[in-house]
Amino acid sequence: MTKLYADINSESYEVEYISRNRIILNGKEYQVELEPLEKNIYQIVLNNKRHKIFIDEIESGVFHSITSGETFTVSIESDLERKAKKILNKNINQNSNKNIKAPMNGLIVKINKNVGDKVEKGESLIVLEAMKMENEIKSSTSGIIKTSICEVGKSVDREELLFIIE
Amino acid sequence: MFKKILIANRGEIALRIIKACKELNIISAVVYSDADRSALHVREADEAYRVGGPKAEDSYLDQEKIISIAKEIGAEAIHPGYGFLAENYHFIENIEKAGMAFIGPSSESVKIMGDKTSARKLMSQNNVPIVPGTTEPISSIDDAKYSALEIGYPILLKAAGGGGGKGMRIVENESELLNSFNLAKSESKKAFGRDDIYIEKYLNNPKHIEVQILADHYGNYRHLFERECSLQRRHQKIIEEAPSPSIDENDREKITQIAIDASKASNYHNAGTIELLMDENKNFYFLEMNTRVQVEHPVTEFIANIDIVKEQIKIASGKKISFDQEKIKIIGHSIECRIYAEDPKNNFSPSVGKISNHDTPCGAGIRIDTGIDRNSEVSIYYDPILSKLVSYGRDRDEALNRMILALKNYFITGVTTNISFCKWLIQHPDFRDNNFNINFINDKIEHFLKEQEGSKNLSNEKIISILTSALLYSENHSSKISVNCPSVQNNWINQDDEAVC
Repeated sequence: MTKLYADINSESYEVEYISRNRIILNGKEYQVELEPLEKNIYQIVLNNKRHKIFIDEIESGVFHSITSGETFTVSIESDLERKAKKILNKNINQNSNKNIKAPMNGLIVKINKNVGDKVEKGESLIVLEAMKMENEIKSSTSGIIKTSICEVGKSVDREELLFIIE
Repeated sequence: MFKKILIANRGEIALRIIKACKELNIISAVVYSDADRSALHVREADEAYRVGGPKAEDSYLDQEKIISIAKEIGAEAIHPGYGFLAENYHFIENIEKAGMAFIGPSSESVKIMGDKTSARKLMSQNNVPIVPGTTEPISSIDDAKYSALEIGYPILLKAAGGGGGKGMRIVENESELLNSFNLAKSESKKAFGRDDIYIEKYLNNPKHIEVQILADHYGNYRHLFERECSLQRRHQKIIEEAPSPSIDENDREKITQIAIDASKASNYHNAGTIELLMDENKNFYFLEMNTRVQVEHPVTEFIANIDIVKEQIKIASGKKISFDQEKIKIIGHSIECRIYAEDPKNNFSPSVGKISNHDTPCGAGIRIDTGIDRNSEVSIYYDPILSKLVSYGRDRDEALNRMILALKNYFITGVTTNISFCKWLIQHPDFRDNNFNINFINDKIEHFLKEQEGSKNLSNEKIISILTSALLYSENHSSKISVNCPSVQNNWINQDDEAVC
């Protein structure tokens, strides 16, 4: 039996993996059967009812799923990983640099903050244009901008590093 | 009838027009940008021609290039779809000059209706009720103060040059006026190249109701009843339906007459839509006329059993409207959800990527107008609409139930979509009970976000997602966990477990 943690939205659940056909979730045991149908598409059988689910491991342990019109991101961690992460997080917190990444592909149309500027959490950093719409990219942290790659007219990819805030 | 038509658009509407062409035995030609080289509309058309780079200005908005391609390939008409050049009267003029037909109204009608103040003036002169306000642009801040006092706060400042919420500001009182006036002007200048602003009374909690009309070149005017499109975000519709659940037969008679009068006043031909606002006392006001086929035309096609796009093509080729008004009756109810590549949980920000799965629902009363397929690229260059899911039923309840089922069975992966949000809206008790207006999404979005984030209830969908994730994790990461796995027993079948589904 293996203890896992599942984070879904902002909730966390304990999962006990007993075998391929038996899993305890939130204290309740489920009899399951998982069959692949095609790439990223599975059928999971629960109490004689088949459910179609699209699921993709977008990064290690992070699953993006769609079933019955509902979309979820589920992060699964083993006990060990959770402990390791706790230690890592401690280190990250001591190092106070924060990275601001582009949430989507787009074109920088306006820059509100430059290197050396002080920003408050929630303040607008740049305006990114994507699909005819202008999207304000707000700072997720407070501090002083240490580096910036932003230039008006530059296109950026999703997850591209825009600012480092100290 | 035309032999060949050029479609100056992309995505689902280009595909919709291609279908109409095929039914009418017309050769369909499309243009495409470099970003759309292998797009679905390019694959489905009879002929496809490159027009330019991925940016809209370099491709779908390059009117000179589009017209010269049309001439070169011997197209007799151009269908603009919606958006891009559809409401650009210069484009229409140039097509007319080049000796081709434009599948839409005359450049004159588009010009009058495109200028919001001239449209308001024309309507007012023809006894079509308009939202109280000015029919001339406001020249100065003093002018604005005077008009605002006369109309009464709260007011809306709006751009004369166009719609879509750009250059629009709600003003609650005089102290806000100066700042908003300047903001609206500069936004309008940026969006439409002109900074004319006019004032409208701000209506409390109105509903958006619109009437579909068709007119031919022989003075025949027909309406195809109304649609209600009150569910909007950022002044853009998401869910539409026909008929409106909010009006009765008397109201219907009134607004269809308003629509016919408005169309006649602008000497209109081809398909068009008169958009109206209905206040809490069931007063109707002309908002604007859309001089093109609407995104939401399929709901009308369902209830009136008329193919609007085919009718457009026939009218442009010089044919008379194919039906009499008395022969058309509303049968049943239809609902449309616009499926967008956007994230409702993140302020509806657009999502881009490659479609990895596109698994569509089907069945009685379900229609999908799609612009994508597996492997389609959703890029930053164009509107994020992916497809339109339309349901039809004998009554509103049946149409709603079919829509819920269809949304549950519609899977798109590779980009984030608004499918779960549409499902939430359709299932909302206030939407079911017809207790909604154009502020509905604004008022309810917090509630939706809270439910998504904080709800402790472990729904079936969540259980399924967690169990599947845990199983795949254990398969993919077996080295990270040491499983003291007892011999696997396939004993799920006979478990007398509590039902979860």
